[in-house]
Amino acid sequence: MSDLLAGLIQNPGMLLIVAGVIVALLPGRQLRAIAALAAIIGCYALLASYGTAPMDAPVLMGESTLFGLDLVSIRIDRLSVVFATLFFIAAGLNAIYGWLHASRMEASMGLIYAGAAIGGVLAGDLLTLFIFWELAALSSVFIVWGGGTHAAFKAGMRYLVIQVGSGMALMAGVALTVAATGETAFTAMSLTAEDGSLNIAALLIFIGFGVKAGFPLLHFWLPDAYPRASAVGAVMLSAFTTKMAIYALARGFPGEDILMLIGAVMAVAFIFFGAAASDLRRVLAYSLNSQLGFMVCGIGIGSELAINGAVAHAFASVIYKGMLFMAMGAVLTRAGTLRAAHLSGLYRAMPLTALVAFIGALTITGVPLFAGFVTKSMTISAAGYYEHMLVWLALIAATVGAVNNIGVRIFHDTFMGARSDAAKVSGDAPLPMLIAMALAAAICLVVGIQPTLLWSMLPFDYDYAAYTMDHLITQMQLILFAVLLFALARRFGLAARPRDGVLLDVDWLYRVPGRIALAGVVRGTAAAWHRLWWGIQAGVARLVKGLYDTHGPEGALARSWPVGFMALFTAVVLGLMLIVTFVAY
Amino acid sequence: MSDNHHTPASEETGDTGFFEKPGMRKILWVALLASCAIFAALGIYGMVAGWMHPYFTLDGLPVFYALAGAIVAAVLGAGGRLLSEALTKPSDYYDSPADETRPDDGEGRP
Repeated sequence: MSDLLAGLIQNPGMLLIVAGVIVALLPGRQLRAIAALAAIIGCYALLASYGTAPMDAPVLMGESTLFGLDLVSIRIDRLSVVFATLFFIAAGLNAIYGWLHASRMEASMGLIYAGAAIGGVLAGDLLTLFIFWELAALSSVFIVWGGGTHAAFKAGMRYLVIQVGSGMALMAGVALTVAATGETAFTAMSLTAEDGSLNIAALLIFIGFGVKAGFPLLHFWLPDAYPRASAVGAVMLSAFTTKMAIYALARGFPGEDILMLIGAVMAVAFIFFGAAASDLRRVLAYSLNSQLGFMVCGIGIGSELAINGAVAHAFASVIYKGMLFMAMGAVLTRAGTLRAAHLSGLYRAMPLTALVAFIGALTITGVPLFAGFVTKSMTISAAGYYEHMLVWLALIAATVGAVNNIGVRIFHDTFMGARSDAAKVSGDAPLPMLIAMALAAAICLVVGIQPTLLWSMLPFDYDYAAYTMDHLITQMQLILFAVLLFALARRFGLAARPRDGVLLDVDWLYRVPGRIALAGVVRGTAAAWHRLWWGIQAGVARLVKGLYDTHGPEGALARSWPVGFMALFTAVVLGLMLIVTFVAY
Repeated sequence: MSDNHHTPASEETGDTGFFEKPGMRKILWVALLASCAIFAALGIYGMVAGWMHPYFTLDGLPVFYALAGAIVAAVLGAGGRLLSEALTKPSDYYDSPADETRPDDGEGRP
């Protein structure tokens, strides 16, 4: 056990978790923010001291044994290091963004959540991954609850059930793997066993990863929970859970064909939901889910370029999606609402936030010189090179979806146009929020202008040229003509904002009919129990009454019997005993 | 471009922003149309000049990406609207308005 603790404590994520506990005890938001930043920088320095290693020759540290199973607290290779570095950047931006607004719980749980995600991507075995996987789930639910409303509490409970369910699926898969092989190492696995049958253990692990990655039909926790968190909390949530799952898929299931189909469905289906949602953070949540489709497709394709593309896009996505959540959080902080129907023309009161949202829109749509252009095009190119035409078409459609959902809905409809009453706010975002957004925007620009900085961190050495003439022309055609069509539709009154209200999703199944069915089951069970209980009560009452009638003061056995009758009765009993004795011997 | 169509309060009061002025709208429209034309022309020229490297027969067509952008945008606009009409319920469908309010200040503070 001491080996295990000694191993875990070498994991920078574990140290960040300890720092999160300490931060909870500190007074004052600014002191907590300073301590959080110091902890993030310190833990990153520890990670940097470990260096990096090629994919085929990872460095393993913190090895220990628990119940006869070999555990590896830290695996350093280019895949784990790039994700851990990304999570450190996200944690730092979150700490700055929440400088004035993060509650004690958000500041503390934000660090623990980031630490769990970092610990998870550095974990060298499935059991260590499970520990951090569950810790990420448990810490993040407090961030959902940080929304402070009863609706946030209920959403948090639903989120918790789903997240813990993901962990249970992972644990079940790990248990079956250990039972079959005796190994806990987290390496690439396949859904198909060597004899061609379904690998149940791998399937359970795959489902556990899929829940957190927002696979279609398993995604509903994401647009349900993220919009319920506070302005600061939603930014934290957008960074870690889904990308931890993307890391796990890249590590565990590279080249798994079914991921291409799943990713293509994710990329396309969720842009329609994003177009139909009226809550702007819900639009962002669906857009995030669609962008995850790019990464899942890349992992499914499985080539070095595609895996690099998935990882690079995860990197860019954490930054630009966090930036967009930051911008919407700033709007929520100032305007008090994120209902699309109530907001327009905010650029006049919040010009810097509008600029950030604009940069976010340029990035996610893949405009050249911004990070999205160089990271998206890797996965799209990989789909093209390996002739996965449907995947390629889906990713092109998803790019247009980003133009609509982020460029039109988030940027244009919220910040541009005639100023609505809700947009008459007192000023731009608070300074720490602006600093965090500016840093994120700078990262998007730096990666877009100088992509080799990111390329050098990716899992595989692959010479990819993003800025070719045909990439530039085709991408700009795609974006500009989509913008033109949306603009024309608006100009001629053919496009309307979505209806204001709640957009139903798969969660409707368990929140309405499921709830009715559950209530029916509860009522039926209660009625059956009552019938059973009343039956038992009635039976016991009848038995007692019968005994009382026989043995009570008024009962038959309590009567005084005549002496002759008693003598006759005794003689009969003795006779019966004689007969029994005679037969027995 | 910035012709918001359903919150005209500011226009009625003469509270017009920089991007809502008719001259600026015109400039934005011209810029958008010119950009579209330039990149469509570049795409066609690129096919002739051999800059383009299509993956499939489909994207070997001139201005395929322009058409794809416009078609997907149209489908998405229509699909999003249909989905919104079909699946949007009143705001209190799941949670009451009281559930959406922070109990500590009663102001719905973010």
